[in-house]
Amino acid sequence: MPGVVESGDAAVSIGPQTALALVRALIVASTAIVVSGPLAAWLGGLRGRGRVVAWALACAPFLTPALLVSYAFTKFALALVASPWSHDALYVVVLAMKLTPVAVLIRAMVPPPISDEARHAFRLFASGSRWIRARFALRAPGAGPWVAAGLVFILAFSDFELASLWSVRTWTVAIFDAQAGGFALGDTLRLAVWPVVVEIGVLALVAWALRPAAKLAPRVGGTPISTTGTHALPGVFARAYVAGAAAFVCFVPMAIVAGQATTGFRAIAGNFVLGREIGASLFFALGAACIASAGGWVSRGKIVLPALFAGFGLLGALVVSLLVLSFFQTPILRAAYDSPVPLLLALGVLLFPLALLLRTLVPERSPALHIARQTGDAGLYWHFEIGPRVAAFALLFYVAYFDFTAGSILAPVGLTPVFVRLHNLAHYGQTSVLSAMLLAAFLAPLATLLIVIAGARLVARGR
Amino acid sequence: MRRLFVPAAAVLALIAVWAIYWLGMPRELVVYCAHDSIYAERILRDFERESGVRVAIRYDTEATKSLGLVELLLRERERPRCDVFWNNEMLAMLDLAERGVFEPYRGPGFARIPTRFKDVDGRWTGFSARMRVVIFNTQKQQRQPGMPMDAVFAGDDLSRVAMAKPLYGTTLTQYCALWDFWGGGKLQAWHRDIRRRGLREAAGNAGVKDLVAEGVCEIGITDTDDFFEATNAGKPVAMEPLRLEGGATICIPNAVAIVHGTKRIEDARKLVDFLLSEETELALANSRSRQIPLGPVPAERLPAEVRELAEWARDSIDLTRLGASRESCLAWLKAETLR
Repeated sequence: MPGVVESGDAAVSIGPQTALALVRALIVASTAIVVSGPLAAWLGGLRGRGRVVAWALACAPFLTPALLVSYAFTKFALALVASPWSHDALYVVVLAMKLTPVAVLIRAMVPPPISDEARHAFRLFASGSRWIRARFALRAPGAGPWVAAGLVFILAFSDFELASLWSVRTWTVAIFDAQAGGFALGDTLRLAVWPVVVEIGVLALVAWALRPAAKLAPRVGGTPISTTGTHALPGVFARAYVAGAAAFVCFVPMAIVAGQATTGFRAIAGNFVLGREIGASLFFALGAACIASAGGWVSRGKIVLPALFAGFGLLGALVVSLLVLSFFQTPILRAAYDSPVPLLLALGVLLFPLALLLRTLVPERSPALHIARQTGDAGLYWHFEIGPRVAAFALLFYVAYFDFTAGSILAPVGLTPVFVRLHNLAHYGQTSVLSAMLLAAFLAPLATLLIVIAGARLVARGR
Repeated sequence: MRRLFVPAAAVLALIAVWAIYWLGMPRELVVYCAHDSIYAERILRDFERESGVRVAIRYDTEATKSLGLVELLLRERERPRCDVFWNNEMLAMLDLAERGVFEPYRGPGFARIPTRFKDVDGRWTGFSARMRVVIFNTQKQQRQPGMPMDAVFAGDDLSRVAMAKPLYGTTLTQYCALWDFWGGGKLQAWHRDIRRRGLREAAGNAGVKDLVAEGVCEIGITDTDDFFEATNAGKPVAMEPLRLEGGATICIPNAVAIVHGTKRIEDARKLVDFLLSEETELALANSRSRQIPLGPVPAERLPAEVRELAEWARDSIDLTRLGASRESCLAWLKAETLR
């Protein structure tokens, strides 16, 4: 029976964990959809520096590594263990806050196909038939909400990192246990069949929802028909949500860790043991960002193959890593098994959907870009040509650097990424030394990015 | 985009050169280490300094202690990439030795370890041990000297009692000992019964320590090194040895073995001798984990807590006879825990 593996004379099933993950993912996706529409509208209405700050704050929860959140809230999560519902609620709340920015971004990119005025006109003049009004209500927002809901669902359903750090029962943790606990790789992958079927089903729905948007391709990422399409949250509520989510998922954990790290820095300064691991993480992040960017570049103008690759990447780090592992255990590729290649490849695949998204956001041709090229002005050239591309690459690099799942399964001996080590050390509880190590590991990619961006600016200015 | 092609190609070329360099580098001595990295790292770096042999370490995750690496060794048996395996428990070594994963070696370190903690053929050797203990939160529960295991799991509601998943690490050793004492049927019934009564199951022993130290649970079963982590952090905890029927305790040594097929046999032997030396056992005894030396060491160089632990260890069961129990128990647990 699919989803069940026979081991000796007893049957093993991960059905309950899959069902729990399904329910949680539905809650997270529903929450993200309810919040993201008005939030995207509010963000779309902002201008100038305030817009940049608001977008940065809105995206901060998504960009905050799960390890930072779980480590900072270790004691809080422990206190909730006595009440499993509260413990699960904390997990769902944090996951919803982390993934809502994805929904906001998608809804900003895929705006409703009809304007607010047209909606108003419909309300005034449409027939009173409930059926017609219901169909209008479903279709008027366009593909955005469906695509956003699908992607957030998949990301929530396939979460492994936060779940494993907080010992939440879910199918990804069960499969990791099976893999570590000695199930043959084929048996482990067979356990993942039903969850993967769910993911593929949702991806198919997303692709189906995107069909109209694909037909209107120039509008996606270009000039939207409507910048709102749904009522914007009153500014004060939107500001409160964005600031609250960023504070809860990003700034409070950062403050807790930084507060503990002050005494630990002295200890690690004398004996810094994570240098090699940070170097390995930087190497893998750089390589994976290059692979994903190159993949995005190669897939210009194509739809089917990139969509298939992106769908594979969206299956989640655990499933992708196990499949890559099985791939490199075949006789032909075994020579590359103990090398950086499997991890680089897995990270590249995992980053590919994001690379595609960023390619859509960074247009290759636009009137502004054309003028910037014609004038030869270094500032304009940076602003319209190099800056967005460097920012896209930096985002890919950043996401790859903070990977844990793929690294823990595929990293070769001697090149252990820093978050695999830190994840392990985090089980010992909070200490000043570990907090200092965490902070150092967080600062390393930021310092690297600053240097790279400064270098890119210099190159752009020198033109 | 074309303008970015040159820098992108340059970066890719750099990565390619680096990867080729990495692949072509002379191999370091590869050590798979299931022992806690915060203790093992210093010992292995000391070895590097003393011997001049460079070591590359692969640690296991805290939650899947030892079993992940054991399974990896089995999967890589035909083409091993590990040279030396430092396990944090002993039972898996019996199985791996039977399956021909290890290379026999009886050096000077082997000679100083008592027979009950090593393989007579030298395929693996135990050293520096820790014990299974009952950990109490002293603000919630009185320390109960001589408390038998039955008393820990008494009562209808076990939501204030914590234990790690038994599939891995030293909780697996505890289960194998119980399998040996009780037989499989009784252990399986007991296991289902304590879960039905709401036992709090943590991902690992460190999780058990956290649950008790923070007062979420009153009592738990963990290892001495995790208990000392809590006392080092000033938590209100106390411990008693976990006593099975007849008062037997469970003393679980680390174990080291050379992997069959290694191309660095001389360096591997150097590391094994280093780990089995008096210096290493004393270093681990005086570390924050306070591990019990198994070979002879000067008593005055041991901390008071370790001397007390050594007394408890005298009552410990002989783990070398649990090989068959482990095989049956693990096969059942693999199915049971993923149900």
